[in-house]
Amino acid sequence: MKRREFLQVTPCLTLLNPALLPELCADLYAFDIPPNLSKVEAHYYEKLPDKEIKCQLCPRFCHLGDKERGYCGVRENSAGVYYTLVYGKACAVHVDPVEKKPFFHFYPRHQTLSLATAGCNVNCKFCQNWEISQVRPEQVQHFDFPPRRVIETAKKYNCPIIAYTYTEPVVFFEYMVDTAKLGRRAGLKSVVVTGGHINPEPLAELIDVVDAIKVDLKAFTQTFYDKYVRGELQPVLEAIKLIGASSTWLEIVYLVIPTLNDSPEEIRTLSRWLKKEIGPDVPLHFSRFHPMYLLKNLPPTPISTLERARQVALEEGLQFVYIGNVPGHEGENTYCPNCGQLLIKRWGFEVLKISLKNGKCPKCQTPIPGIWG
Amino acid sequence: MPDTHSRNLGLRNFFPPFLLGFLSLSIQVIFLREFSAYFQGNELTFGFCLGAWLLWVGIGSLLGPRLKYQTKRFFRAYFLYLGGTVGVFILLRLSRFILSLHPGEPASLFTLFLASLVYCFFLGFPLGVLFVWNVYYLEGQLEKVYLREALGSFVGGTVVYFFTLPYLSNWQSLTLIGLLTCVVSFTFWPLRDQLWLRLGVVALLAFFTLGDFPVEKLYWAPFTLVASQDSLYGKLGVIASEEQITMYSNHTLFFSFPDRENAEEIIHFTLSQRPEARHILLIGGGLGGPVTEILKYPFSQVDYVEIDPELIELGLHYLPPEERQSFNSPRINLKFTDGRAFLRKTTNRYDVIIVNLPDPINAQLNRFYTLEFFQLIKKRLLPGGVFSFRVSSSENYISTERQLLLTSLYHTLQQVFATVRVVPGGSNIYLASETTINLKPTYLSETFQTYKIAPRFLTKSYLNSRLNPLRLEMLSRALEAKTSRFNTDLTPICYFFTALLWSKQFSHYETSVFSFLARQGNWWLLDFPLILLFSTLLLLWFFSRKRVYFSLFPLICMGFTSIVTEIVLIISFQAKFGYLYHAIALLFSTFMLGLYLGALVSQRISRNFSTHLFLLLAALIIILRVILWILHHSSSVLFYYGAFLVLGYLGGDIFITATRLYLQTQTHMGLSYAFDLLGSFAGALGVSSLIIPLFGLNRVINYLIILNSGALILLFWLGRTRPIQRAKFRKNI
Repeated sequence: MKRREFLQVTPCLTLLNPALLPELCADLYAFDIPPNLSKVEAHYYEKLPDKEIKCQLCPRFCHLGDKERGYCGVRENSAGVYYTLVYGKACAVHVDPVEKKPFFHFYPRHQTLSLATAGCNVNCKFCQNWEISQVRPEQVQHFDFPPRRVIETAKKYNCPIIAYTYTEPVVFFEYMVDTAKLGRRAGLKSVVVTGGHINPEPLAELIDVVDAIKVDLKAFTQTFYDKYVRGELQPVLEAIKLIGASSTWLEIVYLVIPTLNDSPEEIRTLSRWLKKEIGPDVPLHFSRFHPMYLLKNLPPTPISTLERARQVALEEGLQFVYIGNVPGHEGENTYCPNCGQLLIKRWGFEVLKISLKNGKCPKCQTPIPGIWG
Repeated sequence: MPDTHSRNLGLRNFFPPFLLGFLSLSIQVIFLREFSAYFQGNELTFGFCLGAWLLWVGIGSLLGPRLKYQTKRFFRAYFLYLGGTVGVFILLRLSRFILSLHPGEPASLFTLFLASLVYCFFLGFPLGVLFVWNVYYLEGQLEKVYLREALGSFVGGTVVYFFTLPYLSNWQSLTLIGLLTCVVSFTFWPLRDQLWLRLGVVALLAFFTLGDFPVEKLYWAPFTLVASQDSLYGKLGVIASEEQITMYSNHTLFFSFPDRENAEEIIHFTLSQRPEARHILLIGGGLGGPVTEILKYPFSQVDYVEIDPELIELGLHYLPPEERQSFNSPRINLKFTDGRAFLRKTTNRYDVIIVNLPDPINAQLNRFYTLEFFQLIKKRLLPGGVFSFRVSSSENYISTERQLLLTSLYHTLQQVFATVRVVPGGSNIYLASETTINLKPTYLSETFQTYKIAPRFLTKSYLNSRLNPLRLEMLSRALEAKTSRFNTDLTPICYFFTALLWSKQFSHYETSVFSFLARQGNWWLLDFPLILLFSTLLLLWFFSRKRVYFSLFPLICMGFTSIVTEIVLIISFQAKFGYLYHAIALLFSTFMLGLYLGALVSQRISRNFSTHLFLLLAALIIILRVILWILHHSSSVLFYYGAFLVLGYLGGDIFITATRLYLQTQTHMGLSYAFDLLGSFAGALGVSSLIIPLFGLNRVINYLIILNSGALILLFWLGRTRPIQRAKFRKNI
């Protein structure tokens, strides 16, 4: 007889205690997650004496002792060998249109098989996926989803593109790179949605195996990165420059949060920098902020703020400036920078009309940068 | 105390303890409202804050005798307390700057705990000390202090609930309470004595009330606050950022305009199921788009129920004319009452009922997500009718904590309706009916097209993405997980799950503490503490036999029992009759009146205190049994008022009797008060946030019966020992 049962049948207690019934809470945690982590050696780290290591993947350069994990929570030093714990351990897999990522100049109207593992190397106060990005892998329900199965699933759901997204794909670098390589062999494209916190060397490897990268530029001031992201701006800018100089397609998203990163001056400085360093034809998306996570009580961005930001960027010479999360707004459409012809009409994630002919404006034949499929 | 003392007491001696009670209760009520407004009012906020308050008053009364008493210092303390309170209220409003939080950003559990401890120290500790000093002032007549304090509490509570809060803001109410205190103080403190201090406090109060809006504006900086007002149900605020109008209730976003996605998802997934619905009921959340979206359906006639008229008035004032126009439509019928109270009383039946309220973050909101509520909805639906509500969720992943909440709601709804479907996404929309529900994107798009709804967000591509097979599979896998935890009025488990999820935003240690506690079950959370408590008392009895500890034990039990029972009754009352401000205020006033009457009667009783205490505890056990019956069977508010009155009466009587028993041998003037409050602290802290949702109202009352039965047995033993000669009163001067 168990202790509890003993107490329950003890006559004096039973007399006193009409409430003693079998316990109610045992079933509450029927959904516990059994730990099922990978142990695949990580790329990009330096071995140090005394079983210590220094992670070289992202600008945090985590210096770790034995049994310690990096800031991302998904890479662990075990006796001087650095392992990724999330290789092939996806926790979110969905089918989304590529416009939702958003990519506007990359295979429009195509579906992506989007996947993520737990973990992130920054901590944004407005994260949409905080329940997977701000936790350790053993705290989420994940499943075995090795690269081979990713390719099979993408084909099963008619997705020609695999998107590494939702959390920060940099933290599952090895898994992403292997899947992208395998996908390329199977004729699938790979796109990455990242905050850009990655060191140049791993980024160079990534650029070689994926087809497009969207960088979430959170703001253009270090103050914002300190306060709301807990990250560094400069490495992100370096990453953007590196991608911009490569043949991998690049788009930039800037989530405009009212009063925090929406000043016209900041937008102007950003636009000038982008034009100078990357060129005028990099697509820049100003997305509308919706209250989320720790900033769940801020107002959504006024549409006029987004319009002003777009206007400033256009004035500075950027040619493809979009407004995101405002379906039906003209800022969602692609216009020819030369003659102003409407080239792609969009409504939210939906592409209503594409007038491009062989990647060129049908009216003035100006080539429109992008990978049009 | 010798009787000569009581004969000499006049008005001069009446007011100080009366004022203590008056200030203590009125400031507590105002502070709890203000604290909940700035720290996202849920059961934890309430529990922490009330717990910290009671703890500090208890500690204050414990340490009071160690502080040197002087009559002048005693008088001055009232004014310094008022000044300090003003400081705390200003500090509370600006605390986001101290804590480096953004406007409306939730504070972590740990921060919440620390903040309530710090603020309540300044508000509660002096009250405890003042209680002891009042006893010195009245030459040791603790019973009289308690009695007058109870009367002051009754008057203070009644004034605040019925005369200040319905008309004034929190800060204005505090100013009025402060000014009344200044006026009343003339009855016992000569006008000329330290007049500057008192004028200073009056001036401070005047500046304080003038600073209400400017300081609130500062809180919202860099956003532009265009309006702020305290309604009965919360602190309302309107932020205008360019054309975007955002309204807040207790600093939680209530609606933002324009925000079509939000309005479309709550209305169109539901109304597309019955596009020709004629009778529609919308409970809450109609401002900022939903009402306009409903009116797009050609035959719709809407009853829109909102609890707070001020919210609608203020919201409509700032919305653009085109949005305001929807509310002028003859097809809209606005009703200002509690949604649940409306459903209970109405005889109307509806094709569609939509509940658009915040998540079940507290017991008050949880009432709209329980089995009993769903059953009530079913009764008010026409054949083939559809019911829907929305809960925050996550588009790409369902965490364990979220799964607990979503699954419980799903299974509870399934108990009542034959068909239950849930739309995945950033919000999960629960749809329930006795007939079919069709969520195929093609069906939805065609319906929108047929009825010319022209949604901006819910386009074909959006629907395909949101209702993608992988998303549906993820959600249904999460929802199908087995759970036996239904959310009911008597076991409101979902607000615990929401608190669990809320804690996850900050640190996993906090979530771990919650999860750990929830895993323990009734043995560690209920049985073990009871067994430990009684074993310790038995050991004390065998080894020391110091009677004093045992005479005060019923006080802890009473403090604990009364606060827990009050919470239980309020939760049950709200579930049955709705969150009706004046009715609930009247319930608290009834309790305080009972407390006063109990203390009053108790003073006149001269029989053996042990026997009297024994009888009182027996009566308490009986009333707890009656309350169990009320929870299940009563449909009359009178039973609730009766229970509050009797509970208050017993509380007052037990305090006085136990104190007299204790004072037969001891001289510590604050100990009994401290024991009473420490019991209440224990009750406030854990019970409302953890024990009630996990174990339910019934079980909580059952355990209270056991606790008090134990106290009764102890008293029975006590009654068989001879009283010891009473010690002399000693004043620490």
